[in-house]
Amino acid sequence: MNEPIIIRVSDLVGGPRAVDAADGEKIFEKILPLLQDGRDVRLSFEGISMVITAFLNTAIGKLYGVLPEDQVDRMLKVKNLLPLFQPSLEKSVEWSKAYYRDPERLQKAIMEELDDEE
Amino acid sequence: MIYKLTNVGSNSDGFNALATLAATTNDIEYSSLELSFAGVSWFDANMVAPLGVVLAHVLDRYNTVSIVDLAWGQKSILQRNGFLDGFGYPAPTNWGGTVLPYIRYKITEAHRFYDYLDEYLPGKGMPEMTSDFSLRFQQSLGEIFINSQVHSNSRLGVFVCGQFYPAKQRLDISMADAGITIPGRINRRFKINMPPVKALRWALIEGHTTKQDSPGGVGLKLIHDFVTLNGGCFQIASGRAFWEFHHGVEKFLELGHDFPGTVVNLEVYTADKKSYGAKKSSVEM
Repeated sequence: MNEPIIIRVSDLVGGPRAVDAADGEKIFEKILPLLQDGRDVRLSFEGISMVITAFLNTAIGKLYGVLPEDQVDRMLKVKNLLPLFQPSLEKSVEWSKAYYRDPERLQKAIMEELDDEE
Repeated sequence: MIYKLTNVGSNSDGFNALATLAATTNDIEYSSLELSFAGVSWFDANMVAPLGVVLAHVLDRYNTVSIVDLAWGQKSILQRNGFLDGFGYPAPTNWGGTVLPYIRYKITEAHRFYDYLDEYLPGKGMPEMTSDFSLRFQQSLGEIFINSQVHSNSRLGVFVCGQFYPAKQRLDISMADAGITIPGRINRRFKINMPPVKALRWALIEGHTTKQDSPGGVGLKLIHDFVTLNGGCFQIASGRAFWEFHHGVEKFLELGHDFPGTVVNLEVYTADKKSYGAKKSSVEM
């Protein structure tokens, strides 16, 4: 059985803050081919003292737009994330799943609101 | 063109004054603007951030801008935070204990914005917070900054400024971008023509986003919850839409003209004696 590949966020963002969506994109591009190859990935936030949702949306959330939910959930594990940022991760994953299950959901919702007004 | 500015406070009248300035100067190019403060008796220091947005648009159309008729007190306020640095009045070498300086960032400079918070927020009267809550609070401010990067595509940057008023027991912070407005991007994204206030109301609901290639919708929940308990004030102006949350009361209104970007204002009541934290504090969030 293959050992999981460990990706350290701090190595890719070059510091203690994961606060840039463009940095999230780098992580996404690193993780995606590994998961597609069937490799388990451990994404380590060791040494990271600030994380924002926009980063998590691109680094992790976008994976749900390419791969099946259960594959991402099973093969990607997050490690060493400070507990205070756990709600941000959970929210990002929850919204990402909802978004990619039905990308037109918001379009429908806003059209309904406009219809209500008329 | 000579334009006589009126009072600019951190309120809907102040945003209307800046939106009117933007609309009146919208057509000038390859020309000059003299912005007169002769009719200004009050200008909230933090509001130089949205003023910076308006003037950045004017300058971007190859105009020159000068600021004239500044009374001593106004000059002192606007010079102290560095706003007048580009207008012939150099920024001070020492910011003093109450100023969060006026800084213009590129939208890609989120790291520098966090440096700004680390450097200038301490000692400005923020209520007591656990270190975890303080980090979450800063995280939320950064999320607002990043919204400019992710959504507004503000090529003219993001403008930040703040002021602590110890005697008035308040701390005001403004973050303003010069990009596509919230109503503008909702209407563009969904190919609709939603009225501005309705569009802003829609955008404020957690989970609603205009981003197409990845999920977004970062809410303003923590700051909103904090302001609810703190008794401060939270405002957003974007295009013609204005929203304010003050003392638990929400107010939406339409500005007389388009503000050419998005501004988020946070007012913190600094005499608040509550202690904020994630757990085991007097106020948990």
